[in-house]
Amino acid sequence: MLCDKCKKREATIHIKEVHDGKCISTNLCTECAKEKELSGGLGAFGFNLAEVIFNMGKTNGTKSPEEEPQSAEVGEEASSPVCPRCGWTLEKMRKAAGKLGCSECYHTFSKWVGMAVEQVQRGKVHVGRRPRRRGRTLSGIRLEIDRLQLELAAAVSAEEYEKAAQVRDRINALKNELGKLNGEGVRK
Amino acid sequence: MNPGIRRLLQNPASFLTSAPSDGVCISSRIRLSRNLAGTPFPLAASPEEAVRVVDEVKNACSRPSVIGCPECLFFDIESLDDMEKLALTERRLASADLITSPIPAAVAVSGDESCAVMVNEEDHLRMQVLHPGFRLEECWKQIAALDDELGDELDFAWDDELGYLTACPTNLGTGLRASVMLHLPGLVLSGEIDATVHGINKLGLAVRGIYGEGSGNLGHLYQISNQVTLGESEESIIEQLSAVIRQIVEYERRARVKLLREDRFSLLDHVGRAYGTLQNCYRLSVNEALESLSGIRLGVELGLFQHLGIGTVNELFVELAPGHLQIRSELALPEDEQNILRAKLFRTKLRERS
Repeated sequence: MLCDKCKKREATIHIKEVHDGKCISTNLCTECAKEKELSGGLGAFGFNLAEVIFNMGKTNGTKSPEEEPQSAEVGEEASSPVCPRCGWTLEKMRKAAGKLGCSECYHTFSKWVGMAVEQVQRGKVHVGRRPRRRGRTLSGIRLEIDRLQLELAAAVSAEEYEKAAQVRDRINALKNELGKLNGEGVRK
Repeated sequence: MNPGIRRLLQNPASFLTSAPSDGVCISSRIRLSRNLAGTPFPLAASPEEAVRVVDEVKNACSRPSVIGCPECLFFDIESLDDMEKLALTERRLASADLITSPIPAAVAVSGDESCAVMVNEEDHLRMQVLHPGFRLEECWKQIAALDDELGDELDFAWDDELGYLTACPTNLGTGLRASVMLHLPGLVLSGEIDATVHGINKLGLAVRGIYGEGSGNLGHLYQISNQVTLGESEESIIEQLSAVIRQIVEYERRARVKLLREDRFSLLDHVGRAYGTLQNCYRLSVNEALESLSGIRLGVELGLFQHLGIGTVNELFVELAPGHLQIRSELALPEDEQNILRAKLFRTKLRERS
């Protein structure tokens, strides 16, 4: 397949972008992709995180400044949630290339962040080390597993399978950690 | 001059000291992103909040045993001049974003330079462990201990599901970025580099030039790092990266052997021209210096030089950079004069050895 841009070299990078529900694929050679990256078209992940979040904002009723230059700011500010701790808005997040203002933003913008996480990460649930002061002790982890198992049962009986899968992953991660702390590998 | 900087400059940059070498991996680094609970991330923090973060981290770092204290050095970025700031980035102890931070920022460095904690970069804390050669496991052990020690003193922003909370969702979860700097002239000269880079990207790993995104393949140097930080444990991220690195090292070695066997004169020409340039030039830009030094590094690794060791190559690699060059000459120089001075540095060093 030839590069869409220069139409000379072989395309080695394939990008799929979703705009207004329409999927657009672009095929680029390494050189043209590099150019696009330099001009800010591509982020560290082969796409621009801020645009992902921004496009999500659009599907939620906000307008892009390109479409309505005058009312854009007002429109977005009005429909975007505002973080109660740092005052961050979706528009600010977009200007900061997808970065958040504070840890509370993860709750304030959970819908948007969740979608961004799905695009850039491999899972939705943290697996790995935790701060010692948050109870990286055997009893602390066991308590947490007990609590999560109740949560898992509740999710299953409510037929919330996606949530159940997340809780299950978290339990497995904790069991793994427990096994490591016990120094005897993963315990079933 | 800042006494801490003077102390650092007495020694060679730690990531380039000679280590057991495979001739391909130059250095390994792991960094962890952490933030303080309850304080806005640096981008949204007020100057007062930023100062408080610097003070809190400074206190935590000055506890005995944390990052090699009492030998640890602490630099307030605003107290440094431009050349000193550059020198920190050239030794890979601070990032370009840190030294241009609009809010109060700092970096704590262990006496041996293997550990550094940047304060108020994109996240409140960016701690790193940096070692020469391919030593990710060692980096991980050391940084996990540092993380525990600092975590006992500081309340890190944390969520039971999302893990460590970071300013950018691309670092969420473990906050871990592991990277290895590789010298890949064999793959470049044999034209296999594009396919290799493409393959690495397909595995979900990032390939960058040594001076960060967009710096291309200056000096045939590549930095390979993980992209995913959430949903996998630190050990598994590091193991996956290591497996890929081992494979690339093997490819590079094979490419070098093949070049020596099948295209010997092109290879010798490449190395010889690089040596000739550096030994005889009177004006030398950073880019040309890095390109030619790559050729010499390759020659040294292949045993083509009798009187030139990898130590000299590594020393020049840091000394050629603008910050080091200007601090050594004790003058702030315009670019053209830097180029003249850099050429002199190379002529002197390489004639000593011939």
